[in-house]
Amino acid sequence: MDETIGTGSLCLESEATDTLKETVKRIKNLCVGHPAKKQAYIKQGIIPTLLKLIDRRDSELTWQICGTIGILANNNVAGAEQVASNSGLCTLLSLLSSDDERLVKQASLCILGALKSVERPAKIFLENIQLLESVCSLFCNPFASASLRECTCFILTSCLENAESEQIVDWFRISNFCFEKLKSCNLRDPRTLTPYLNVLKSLTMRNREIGKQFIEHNFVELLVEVMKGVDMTLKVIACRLYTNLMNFSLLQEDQASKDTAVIIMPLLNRMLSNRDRNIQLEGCKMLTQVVAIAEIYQQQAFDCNLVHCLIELGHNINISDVEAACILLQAVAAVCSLVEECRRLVIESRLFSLVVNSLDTSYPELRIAGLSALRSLSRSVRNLRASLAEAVLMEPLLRSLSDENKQVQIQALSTVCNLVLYFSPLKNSFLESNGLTTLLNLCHSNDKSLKYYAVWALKNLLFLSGSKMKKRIIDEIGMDYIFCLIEKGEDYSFQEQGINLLRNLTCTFSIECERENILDFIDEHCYRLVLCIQDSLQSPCMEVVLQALYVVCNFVVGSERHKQAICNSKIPKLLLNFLTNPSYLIRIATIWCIINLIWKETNDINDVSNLADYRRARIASFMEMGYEEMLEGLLADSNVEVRGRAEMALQLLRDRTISDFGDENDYEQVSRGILL
Amino acid sequence: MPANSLRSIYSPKPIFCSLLQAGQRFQGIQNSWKLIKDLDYWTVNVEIQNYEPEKGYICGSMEAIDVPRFDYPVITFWEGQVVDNIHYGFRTGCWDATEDDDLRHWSKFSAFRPFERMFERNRAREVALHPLEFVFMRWKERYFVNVSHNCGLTIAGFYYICMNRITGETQGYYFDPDSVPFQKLQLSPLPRFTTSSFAFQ
Repeated sequence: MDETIGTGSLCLESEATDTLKETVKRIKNLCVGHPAKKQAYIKQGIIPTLLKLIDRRDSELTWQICGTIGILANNNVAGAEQVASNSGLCTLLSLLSSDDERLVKQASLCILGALKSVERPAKIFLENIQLLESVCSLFCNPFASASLRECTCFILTSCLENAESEQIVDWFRISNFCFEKLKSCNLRDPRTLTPYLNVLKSLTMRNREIGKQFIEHNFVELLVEVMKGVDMTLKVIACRLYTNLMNFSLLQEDQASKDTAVIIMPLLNRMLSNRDRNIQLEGCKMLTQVVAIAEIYQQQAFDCNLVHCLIELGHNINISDVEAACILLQAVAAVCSLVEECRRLVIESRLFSLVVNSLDTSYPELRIAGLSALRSLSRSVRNLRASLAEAVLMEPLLRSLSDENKQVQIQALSTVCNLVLYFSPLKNSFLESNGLTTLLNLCHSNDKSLKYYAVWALKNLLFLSGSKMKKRIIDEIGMDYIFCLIEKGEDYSFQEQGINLLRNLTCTFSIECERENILDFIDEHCYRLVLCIQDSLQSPCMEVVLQALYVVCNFVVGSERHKQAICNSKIPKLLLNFLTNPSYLIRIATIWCIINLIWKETNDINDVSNLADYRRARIASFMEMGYEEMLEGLLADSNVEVRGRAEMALQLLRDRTISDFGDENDYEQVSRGILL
Repeated sequence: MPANSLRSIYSPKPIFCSLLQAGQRFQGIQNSWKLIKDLDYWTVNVEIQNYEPEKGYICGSMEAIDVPRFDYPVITFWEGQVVDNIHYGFRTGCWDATEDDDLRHWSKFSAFRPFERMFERNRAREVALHPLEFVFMRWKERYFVNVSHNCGLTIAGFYYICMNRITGETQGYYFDPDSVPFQKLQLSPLPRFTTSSFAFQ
């Protein structure tokens, strides 16, 4: 212990109250403005000693002690940790129920100062439910002073930021208390609303029911009035609460959209343009939350120049400021996810360099944020073709695919899904850098998320790919893998991706050699493929059914063998039923299947002769099944394309008596002429 | 269906067309109206690369083959507006096109006739277009993909487009105040319907 304390009249071990008071006061005075001295005292263990001296019977001494502890713990992590230890907090919290208002205020300030200086203030309370319950009771004391309210409010909001807190306490008691207080608050002094709105803001982050009750109590108008007010802190709290309600779709869309455009977006503009770093970052977080709700808010953010504000912020944030860079990149990811104008502004600015540079840092959270921003920017054909093509992205992206952090891998995979598309020049860089091998390995991952995104990326890679790429993928991954995705799908999402893979594999255009090359190597799996399609067409998931119909369309083009394989299965009967499906997309896809099945081909990839005979037999079979009547019924369909395609299919069905045309083009012209 | 009968019955909805899906291809020709005797025309291949009916947005590439003075195909990237009366109407309102320009070009399509009078009376926006057999669009080339922007060709204008949703037959007229007027684009879809798909993450 400091020499000046142990001797004479200044001694913490003294039994004389006056000596103790003087000693405590001296310590406080020595520490104010002297951080080194403060640190030395803390290291010597003065805080636990002072805590032991707290005696509720002597308010003056206790008041002094609280003041001194407050000074020691303020902005000092070590000191704050000592105060915020279990026993320390219990002791200080017990003072909050004292009748001495001065003592309650001092103790509140002490606790608040300490908790604001520790890293995770909520942890202590989440591990000690009784402590949390006592805080709840203190908060709900109708006669609590402003400082007590502020202190307990801080504790509760810190706890509520943590998702684990949801199941621990009966939060409805707290929310009901807040509702009562809001009803009786003095609206001429809106600051009196602060603790209640603050707690409700935190409560409504995850609790829809409380949000619903907020609206049922008719507080939305009050909230809007507060948002229009002048107190910045209160405005921010109110805006957060409002966006929580929007998040749960509890507000009327028109009104929410109007309030956001007129009040929230301008407020965010002011926050992002503020010189205070904390306010800027809070603005970024709020922007991220609002624009994630719907596209219209991203558009509003653009209209309100918020993207320009983010770009300006980017000029002042260094990548070494990891926290700030993460928050900014998350805002970029959110605001650019659906609106092209936002993407364009970011890509054309220096902020894009921050995105690219973040991919290569040693901080996984920064890589995740950067990858998320890049993914949003790449959701655009125009950007993929041009702006992003020039960026040095592929190396860091490929490294991220093998990152030890799973979240980094997932974000990287999601971004790769967009970058490997047909019109993206980066697709070639990906393939040349051996990205395909990594991708195919990830398709076999035991982690469901990784596997899902890897399959998605593979599907996108196969979009409009040539036969060489398709053959390579089938050779490396095997048709078995694709069939297993569809047959034993872990859930419909995997089945859907699998059937999309098949769709892209079987898609060919009128280049004869292409068609021959691809369908040739699918041929050996013909039987299993048809079974797979047949099962998919019986899926309860309509998206799987729709994709399976497109596979049929692709599969039968130019191959009599494939047409027969389909017709020899249950598929024609299934197609008949789909003609009356409630979804016009299904009806249209089904009619396309029929058209492709009875289309008059002039040559065949397997050089099958007598194509006309086979076609006539197939049409006769369709007629027997009742296709003609069903298609006639669709001539009165509510959807114009269904009507038109049904007419086209009927013409093809009925033309079996017309002799062969000399030229395929003549045949098409006649078909179109009938319809024009 | 008469245009005025579409006015009060339906509210506009996004326009779906199976021939406008990503990956769909069209082939045809573009010619200069006045120079047709000199056979000044070239082959055009169009590929749809993305179609977002809920935004009225479409984009793709256009490959012009045998363009006069060029030994190799010239490829451009274009973006389009689908006239759905939700996001875009018949009035262009940009790209230097006046209302007179709009009327002159749209009137070239027989499918537009039911809307002419309504357009003149500024009421064409009240019509639901999603039940119609034709899709009206504007396609604007944004940049050259394989040649430099000072190659001697211009992409300052845009096309007024009318497509038959059933047959896929597409006509277009190029508008650019500084180019030969009413250059005509005629496209047909590829003979077979096959589709590929992708989805942004």
